[in-house]
This record gives sequence, C-alpha cells and structure tokens, in this order.
Amino acid sequence: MHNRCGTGYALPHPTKRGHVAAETENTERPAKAALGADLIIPALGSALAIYYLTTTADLDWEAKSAGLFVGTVLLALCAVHLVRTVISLARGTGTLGFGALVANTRHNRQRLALLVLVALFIATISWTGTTLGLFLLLIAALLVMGVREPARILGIAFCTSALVYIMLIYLLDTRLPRGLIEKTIAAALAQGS
Amino acid sequence: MTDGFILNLFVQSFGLWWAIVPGMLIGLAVGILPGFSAQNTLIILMPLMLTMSVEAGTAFMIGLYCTTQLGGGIPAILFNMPGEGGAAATTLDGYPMTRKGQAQQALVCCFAASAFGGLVTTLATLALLPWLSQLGMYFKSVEMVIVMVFGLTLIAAVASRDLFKGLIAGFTGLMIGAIGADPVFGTARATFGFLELYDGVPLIPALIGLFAISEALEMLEQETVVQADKLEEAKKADWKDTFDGMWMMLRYWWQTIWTSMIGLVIGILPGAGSTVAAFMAYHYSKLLSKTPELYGTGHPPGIIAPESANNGVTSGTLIPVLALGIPGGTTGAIMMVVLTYHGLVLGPRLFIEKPQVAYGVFVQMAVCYFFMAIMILPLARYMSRVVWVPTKFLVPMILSLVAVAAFSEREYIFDMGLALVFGVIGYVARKTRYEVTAMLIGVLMGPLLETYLLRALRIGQGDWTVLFSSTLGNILWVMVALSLLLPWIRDRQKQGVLAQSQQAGYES
Repeated sequence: MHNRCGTGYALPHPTKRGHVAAETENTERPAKAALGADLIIPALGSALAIYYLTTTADLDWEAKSAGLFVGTVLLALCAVHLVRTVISLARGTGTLGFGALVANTRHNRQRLALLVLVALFIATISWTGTTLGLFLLLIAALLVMGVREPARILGIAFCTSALVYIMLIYLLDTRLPRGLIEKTIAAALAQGS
Repeated sequence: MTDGFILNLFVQSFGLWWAIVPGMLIGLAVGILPGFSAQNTLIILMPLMLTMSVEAGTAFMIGLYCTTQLGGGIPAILFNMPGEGGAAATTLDGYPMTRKGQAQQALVCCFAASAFGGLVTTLATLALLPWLSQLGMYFKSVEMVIVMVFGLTLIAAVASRDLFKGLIAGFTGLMIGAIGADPVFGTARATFGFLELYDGVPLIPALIGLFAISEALEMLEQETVVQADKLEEAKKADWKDTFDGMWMMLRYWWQTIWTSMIGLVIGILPGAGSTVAAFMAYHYSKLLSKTPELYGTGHPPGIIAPESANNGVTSGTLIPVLALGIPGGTTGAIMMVVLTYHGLVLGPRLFIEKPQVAYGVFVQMAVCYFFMAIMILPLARYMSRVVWVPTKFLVPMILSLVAVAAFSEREYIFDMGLALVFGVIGYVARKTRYEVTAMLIGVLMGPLLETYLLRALRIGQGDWTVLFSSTLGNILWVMVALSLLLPWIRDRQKQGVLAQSQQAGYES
C-alpha cells in the first residue's frame, strides 16, 4: 500500500514528485498530487516567522537580527513553494486536498485516538500520578491498536508502569508527578521502615 | 610519563571493573531511553560518586558516560528514534538497515564503531594530551561561528533528495531555534507567553517529538518494524550476522579512525557536543565516499561515521576539564565537582601533582571501551529481536514511555506537551517528505550560531569583516565552501561521464 523512500519515511500513494496523492486513486490515470498536505509545513513555518517578526519588531537590532534573517529567508522559501503549488494547480497536476494524510482510514483513526489519549495523559498526569496515568494510557492505547487479550493488556500495562515507577520514581527519585499509587506506596514503605 | 606508569594504570583500571561495569549498564539503559541524558543521571547519582574513592568515582562516571553514547544508537537503529542527540545521524542509515532485516549487523556495526572509535581517540588523547589541550584556545567566537555554519551545511547534505523541501524544513527548525531569550539582552522572543520557552525550545522534547512520536505514529501502518518480506530472513539471523557486522566495520577501519578524530576535536570545543560531531562526521563520510548515493539507504559507513564520532567526543569533552580546569559542557562540570570534592586542583598542575588521576581518567576510558567491545557486542543478536515484536504492542509502549521521557530533561509537564506538538509536526513532515533531520539540525544549531555570531560581532564592534579576520577562520571558510561545492562538482562530473558513456553507446 505504501512505499518507503531511502530515508525510511513512509509515503502513501507516492507520485512522481513525491507529494501525498489524493485519496481517489484511479488505476488508469496517475493520481493528482495532494498539494494541500505539502503546504502544511511551509504554512506553519511562515506563521511562526510572521509571529516572530511582528513580536520582535521593537527589540534592539542585536536581539532580533538572527530571527530576522532566518524568518526572511523562510518566508521567501515558502513564497517560492506557494508559487510552485499555484503553477501545479494551474497545470492541473495537483489538487489542494490533503490526500491520505487526513483520509478516513483505520490507521488515521488509530493515530488520532492515540494522540488524544497521550494528550489526555499529559493533561491529567498531575491528578492521576505517573504510574496510574501510564497504566490507564497503556490499556487504552493497546485497545486502540486492536489488542483484545485481557491478560496481555493488563500484563503489559502493569509491567511497564511498574518499571517506570521503580526506575524513575523509587530509584532515581525524579520529580515525575505523584498520585494515589505513589503516595500509598510511599506511606506503606514509611510505615514498614 | 613512562610506559610502566601507563601500564600500571591499565592494571589498576581493570581492577576497577566493579565500578565501570555497573556504570556501563546504567549508561546503556540511559542511552536507550530517549530523553534520559548522561548529564542528568550523573547529577542524580552524584552523591553515590562522592562516597567512592576518586578513582572508583571517575571509573563509574566514565563507564556511564561512554556507554550512554553507544546506547543512544540502539533505538536509533531499531526504531528510528535516537536515544541521544548524538545518535540522530545514526537513524539515517541504521533504520533502513533494520527495515531490510539487517538489524543485527547494524547494531554490531554501531557497537564496534563506538568501541573502536572511542578506543582510538582515547589512546590518541593519552599520546597527544599536551597539544590537544591547547586546541580549544585557537577556537574563539569567530572560528566557532564558522564551525556552526559548517553545521548548517549539513541541512543541505541530509536533504539531498529534495533540497528545496529540506531547506524549508531546516529554516523552520532554525526559526524554532530562535525562540527564547536573546543571548545579549535576555529579551523574550516569540515565546507565545510561555515562561517554559524563555530558555529556548528544549532539545530533548524536540528530538522525542520529531523522531520518536512521529515514527511511532507512522509505524502503526506496518505489522512489524522489519519489512514483511524480510521478517523471515531477519528471524534466521545467527552469530554469523554478528561477524558480518564486525566485518562491515573492519572494512571501513580507516573511516572509523578519522571520523572518531572529528569527534575528538569537536568534543574539545565548548558547546558543540556529540550531535554536531555525529552529523559532521556523517556529512564528511558521505562527501568523501565513492558511493555517496548509497547513504540513506542502509549503508554501513552511514552508521560507523556518526557512532565513532559521538564516542570520540567523550575523550574530547574531558580534555579541557582536566588540562585547563574549564568544563566545556555539563558532563565536564560534573566531573569537575567530583574531582574538586576530593581536593584535587584541576589544570596543568594536576598532571604533575596527581598524574595517576589525570592520565588515569583516560586509561579508565580505554578500559571501558575494551569492556564495551567484549560485553555489549554479543548482545546485538538478542537486542535485534525486539523488532520482531508486532507494532500493535510496540506503538503504545513507545508512545507512553517517550511521553514520560520528555519530562526528564527539565522536569516540566509542559515539555511532554511540547514533545506531542513536535510529534504531530514531525509526522506531517515525514508524510510530506520534509526532512525531520534537517529540522532538528536547525533547532540545535540556531541558538548556538546566534550566540557565537553575536559574541563575535560584539568583539568586532559590529564589523562583519571580523568573521574573516583570523587565519584559522579563513581556512575553515574555505573548507565550508569546498564541502558545499564538492558534491556539486562530483555530480557534474558524473553527469559528464554518463553523457559520454551514453554517447559512446549510441556511436558503437
């Protein structure tokens, strides 16, 4: 379904120019390149450059010189890319779609679910604590990935979160957020000693 | 310094195996986990080192530090996720080898190059210490600017497949690197109102996001990391493949030596570090290769060059600490704390008053690399099996562990979120063929270049010609120009030869 280029990067539906192809692939005709996806990184770069240049306009020359140079070059590069995109659109060799990147596929749904889960884990880690948060994240993530054997799910989630607790919290005493589990174990250990 | 003295130090250092080996094991674990650096671990374990004798303390520290560099290459090769910044360049050829079912050979190449490269630079340091210790003195702000410009040319090297997109990715990285307080006045720039970005964008969350999270998101499309048609072949790997990997490294023994020397020199320079050294070694290895087109496709020299360089950095980092009493980085500073705690005065006098400690550190390092070769190299066979594990188990574990790892550098929950943002950017970049490596180089090099450039301009009172005012600097500028021109000249020559052969084909 997808090819890998030399650097090991997956490229679904590669076209001659390496753009992510539109999801409506016709076996008879070569698919049009989804140029909208190609514009995401330049758009992000341009937005950052504009934000940087506007918010540092009043600073001393030395404080903004490097960003000014980098931002100007980046905006110029992105402008050239935009022109190239417009030419491709005018020639009819591409569309402004996002291709396989946002297609409603199982893999994309899994990706989105995993991202939401990790975001939830980060947002709630202060309350759940690292060990419990990690345990719940792993259970949910394994379910999203299609693992259905309860013993495996619980085994992996338990072993991984226990390993993180022992290595990073108990032995190395890092400042990873403590929750119910960490506090209970700490209290039990304090009573024992 | 007599041969007998050094020999005696070697015997003593072998006797410290009980401190070196645990240090190595911790270093291996720290190196494998993205986000956990040798520096942070050494800081955490400092109380332990202070309770040991000075020799045992340094042996433990050296074991941990050297093996971390090696450990970083393991996830870089197996999962396209560098455990350390110094291993980011290893992904370029290491991961394609894994995809081709050659994970074991790739790991052996990495371990052998790390051990051999590290050993060579340590022995070179022992032999040339008085001269090497002066090297840092010649590299002032102007020369460091050029070293950083050198670094930026790497963007062009790693983005050779699509230079235009590579430049956009690289400059986006540089723009991200420009976030944070400026190095002269300390004014916040483009921090989006986050205090956590005042010190700039931290490297570890960027590394974890751009490489680890984005790769995990991409990996879920496959059943296993290894290509489906290569899996059976990979499962048949045996000890012969370990020897294959060693043979691959031995074939490029000369490259291992000179790329490790790049690491040694970069290590001596303040602020540059193993990431710069590894990318620079990769760049030069490709530049001077007869088959540069094979780089990025799973070519063993693409692993050997960065791995020998990042291990070469280890001895380089310690030279200014011991010889001049100036720590070039965090590791050097930690070593300084441990040594001064034991009442030692660092600097040239250390070599006269306590030669057994000053030279002993490098001898311990040589012994550590020897242990590394005999202990870790055989493990490649077993480590490589992890890529057989189905991705439905690997992806959740990787995502959850790297999210925790992002916390470790600065201990901010903010950094976990930052890694996730970089993960999404990295995923989109990969899917649309913008080189994440070029972006990372930008994030890394941007702040360094700015710092040295502004410092040089301050010294030159704003006169830009200061950048061309030193002989060494001008030699380096010529080298920068050559490194940019050489691939172009070679391409032209190749095209000429191709055209000639095609013409000859038509004529015959």
